Amino acid sequence: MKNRIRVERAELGLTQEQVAEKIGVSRQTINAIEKGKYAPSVVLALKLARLFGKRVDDIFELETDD
Amino acid sequence: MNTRNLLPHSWRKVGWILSIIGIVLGLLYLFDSSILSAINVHCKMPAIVVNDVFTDIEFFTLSRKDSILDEIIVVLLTVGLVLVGFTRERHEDEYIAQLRLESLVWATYVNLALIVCSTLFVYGAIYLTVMVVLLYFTQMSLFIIKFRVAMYRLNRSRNEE
Repeated sequence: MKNRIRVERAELGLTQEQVAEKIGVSRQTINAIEKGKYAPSVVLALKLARLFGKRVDDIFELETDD
Repeated sequence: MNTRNLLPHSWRKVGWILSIIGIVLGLLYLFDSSILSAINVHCKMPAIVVNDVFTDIEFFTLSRKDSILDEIIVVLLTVGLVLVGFTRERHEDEYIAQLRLESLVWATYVNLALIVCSTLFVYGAIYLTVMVVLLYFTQMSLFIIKFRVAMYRLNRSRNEE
């Protein structure tokens, strides 16, 4: 699964730490999601989408091997 | 994040203290029990079932013990390792919960492999000792080491912001 969190975060000028704080997870979790090491739960994906003012599938995208 | 079945973070320190005392006593008990005769307690313990060498099997009776040190070690280690292994992280979240689960599954596989290997390759009275260690100590210890390493790596993964 690909995601655009880093891009969205940069557009809003937020650090990983700030995003983590706003949605109530650790910075490491945001880092792991950005790196594609961890696929977040639906709840977390929805919280990220709401923070960025986008829909979930604008941020997360399936890859061919998913 | 649902962490209902985890214990408060602040209990972990108590867990480390109990575990360390349990490990030290356990090692002494295994390798030089003579040192421990000073703290041996002679008493009778209520027993659900007793099977002594020279008597028939008995149910719901009192068992005469020359030492309850082994019982104390098992309780200390079990409580201690549970408090170390199953307390919340300071910033608990779903990714950490997944790392914990993966560590626990890994530790279970390794412990079961150790049980099979011990059964195949360890014979005689020492088999019982090995089984007791595998029952009370190795799985939780392996889990704690694996999970702490995962958390250490996670905390070190500073990324270009």
